[in-house]
Amino acid sequence: MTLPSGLPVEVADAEPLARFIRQKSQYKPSTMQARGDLFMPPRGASELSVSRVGTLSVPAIAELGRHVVQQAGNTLKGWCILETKRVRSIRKFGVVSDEPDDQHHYHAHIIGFPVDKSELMEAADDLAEAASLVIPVAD
Amino acid sequence: MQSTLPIDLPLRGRRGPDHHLTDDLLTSSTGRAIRAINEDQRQMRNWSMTFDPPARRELKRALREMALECSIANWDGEGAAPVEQTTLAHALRFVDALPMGLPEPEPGVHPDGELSFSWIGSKGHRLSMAVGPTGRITYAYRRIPDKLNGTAWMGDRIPSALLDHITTFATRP
Repeated sequence: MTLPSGLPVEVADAEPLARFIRQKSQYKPSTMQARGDLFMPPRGASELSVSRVGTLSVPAIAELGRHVVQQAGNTLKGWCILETKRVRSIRKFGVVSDEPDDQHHYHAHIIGFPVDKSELMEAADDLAEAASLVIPVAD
Repeated sequence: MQSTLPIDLPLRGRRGPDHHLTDDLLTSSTGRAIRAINEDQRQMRNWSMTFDPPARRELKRALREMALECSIANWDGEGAAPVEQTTLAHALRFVDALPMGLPEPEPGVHPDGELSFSWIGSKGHRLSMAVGPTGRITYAYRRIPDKLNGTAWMGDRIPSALLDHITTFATRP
């Protein structure tokens, strides 16, 4: 079974996931390392939006990123990549596809974030440590 | 008149006459006046362009800018809470309490409206903190293989355990 994007419902361990950056404060500019802030779920949520970008070129990832962040009224600053297998090896995180309509192609969720704030920050730092260096996008 | 303790009286673990003096000072009108002056000076320093070195000044400027940009609910388009003025005040107080000479943190904002600070060292060495509107500090520290997380409260000083973690980024980055 396939999703509207043509991707399979099951997210494979080898798939790269992109987390799009909306604020420059979400990474350390001098080293391009992601901060834990980039992986904090929205208020009241226990999942985090990512995009499945294994089949996309770099310009296509940038175009997808602009589309994603514009939906929330933000500007794309860049992205970093996480490997699904690595995410699943951290804590009890899961990765599930989520394409409810044509506006959410390639969309997936990292699920299983803790509720307690200090544990949430530790979990976000776990993901930041596992992420690639930030690929910036010119303003 | 203050009495003198006999020299053979063991002082350790006891409250001597100087403690009574300290208690009086804290609750007296003089003590309250001194505290008010200290607070005025702290606030003056907080908004000063003169007393802080450039990196510290830049950190405070960034915090104020973020607090302003994120002062309206839903600033992230995903239901974020606004940054309150009290949160900014506590965050600036935290910055003021950071000893000079330690690495300056990277500032940020969390979706719950708390202002954040992070120190990122070599691989596996990180400290993340978030300061909230009540002065609560939530933190997560790692220096692989060790991990710690918890909560502390902002007073006039940074809690010593947190300060120890921050210091590691200067001594063993």
